[in-house]
Amino acid sequence: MTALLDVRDLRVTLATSRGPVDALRGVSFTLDRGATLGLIGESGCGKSMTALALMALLPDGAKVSGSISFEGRELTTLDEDRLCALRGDRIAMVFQEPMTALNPLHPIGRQIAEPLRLHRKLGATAARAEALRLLERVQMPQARSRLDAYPHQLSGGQRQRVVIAIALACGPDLLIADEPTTALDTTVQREVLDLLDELRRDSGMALLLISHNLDVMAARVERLAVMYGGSIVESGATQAVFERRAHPYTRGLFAARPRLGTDRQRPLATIAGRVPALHEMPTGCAFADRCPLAVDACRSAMPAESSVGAGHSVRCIRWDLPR
Amino acid sequence: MSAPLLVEAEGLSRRYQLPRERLLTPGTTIQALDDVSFTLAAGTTLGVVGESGSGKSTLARLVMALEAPSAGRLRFEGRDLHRLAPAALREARRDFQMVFQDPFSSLDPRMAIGRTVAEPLEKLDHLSRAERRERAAAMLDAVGLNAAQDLDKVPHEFSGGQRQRIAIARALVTHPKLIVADEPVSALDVSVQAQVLNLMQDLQQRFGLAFLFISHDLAVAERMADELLVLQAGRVVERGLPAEVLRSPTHPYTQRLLAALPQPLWRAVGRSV
Repeated sequence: MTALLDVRDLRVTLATSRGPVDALRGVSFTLDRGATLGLIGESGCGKSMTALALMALLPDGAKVSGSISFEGRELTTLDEDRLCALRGDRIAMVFQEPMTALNPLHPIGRQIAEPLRLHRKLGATAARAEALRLLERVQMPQARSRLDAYPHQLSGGQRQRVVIAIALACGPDLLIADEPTTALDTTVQREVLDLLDELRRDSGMALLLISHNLDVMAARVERLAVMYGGSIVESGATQAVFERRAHPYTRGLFAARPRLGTDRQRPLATIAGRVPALHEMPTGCAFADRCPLAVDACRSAMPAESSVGAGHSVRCIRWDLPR
Repeated sequence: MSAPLLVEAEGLSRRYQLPRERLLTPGTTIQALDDVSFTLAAGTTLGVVGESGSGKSTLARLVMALEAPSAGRLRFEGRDLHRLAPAALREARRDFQMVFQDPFSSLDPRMAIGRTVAEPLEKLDHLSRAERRERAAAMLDAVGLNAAQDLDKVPHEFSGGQRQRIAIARALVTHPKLIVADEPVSALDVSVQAQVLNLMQDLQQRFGLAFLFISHDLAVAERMADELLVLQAGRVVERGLPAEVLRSPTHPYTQRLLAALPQPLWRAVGRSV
């Protein structure tokens, strides 16, 4: 069986005032039908850029190389009309900020109906009936009376439910959720993630979940890819990555996370330095300048992928040093 | 001997009246803060947790004397802040400063950071420009930046974590006794968040600072706070030592906040999954 999504050596170069910069430096992963994959990393690591590349929504002047194969179709060379037909239909996206993802001037019922009218050519009445069904499916309280509500009349959690309803409207095969709960309170965050889980199980769609939050990932995805400096530095089954932490960056990320019940007299572990800016990205391993294990060889070339275990790989030449 | 009290809040309340929707009926009143009392000793940290709309930021605005309470009293070193004459209040402000959540919007993008950090001194002391610059440089060094290199740069040349350090330097430049920090690390990446939290703990030791530390992140609040207040809908629903409040919460709201945490954190507090 071929994977639903097969990304091979994806590279994105952006045009900036400082000249071209590499935002993605050879990203590869696959996602099967109905499966879940988490992309984790800090700002600027390329998580969102990967999502935008999949949706073909990269900024003007961006150059893409490599391959994105979706249901066997190559997306990087697809023309805009065909991409439009895919977006919002087979591939849908949920954004971080439900306040800006919705149009403040249109009632939410109309916004949910829009993809149905566009992709399914439904008439106004049928689309509205379907919008109501979707609102009920995302467990919006008093769905019927909310159809004509405007975004500002809803809470943050309710707005995110509307955004999810829009994404689900056409029954996509792939849902990309980019920090879907980061703007929400913890209790609401849990409700929204539970809802995504439930909808995914019911519909059999695949989920690409993007988050900087390790704890969210632990509970929600089967496989995890850790990104740093525009490439995937470690990937594998979530459990394996959590237990093994093969890449020094993965280890640093785990150690730096504040946890309940730790000794507050002891300083939190930190990763020295900061994420390199895109225009100062080194040729070798992007993490080398912050890495306690780095040697000259790390800086001379991008480390190749090494296998840590079944389906678990790491881009580090020093990962198997005794700890 | 316990440290002297810096802040005493007694029955602080704050109501907001929404604009009327109909001509003849008055707008609804919102009780953003309802009868909140606490004390904060010099050099210690009071953590305030709760979800959006719980009144955390309203509390910060009252303690910073940016707004007056509808009822109740707020004393800073024994003086009722909201009864001070404007000139006296302005003078008192050197002792309490604020650090905001988003270091991308809290710094003037066109102002060199040396000036941004020195700015609070302009109205306070009769220092020359050179003296102000010197104090700003000392503070930038204290928060781990390189003043000699960075003084004349503008905010966009810095990362998020560095910007938050700049915001902290600005808050510290008047040598305050209290810093009100409203979600100071929630906009930062995990690796940088740890650096800034460590820095804040170091600075507290070094300058004997008190913090009113507002956070929605229970683990961050536990790490920083000597005492914890849990706010819900403007009311204090639970208070106490952070470890105790979070290990055996008695109020359903605190229990709900803890229950919403993803699983691995639960294991860290020793709960069964």
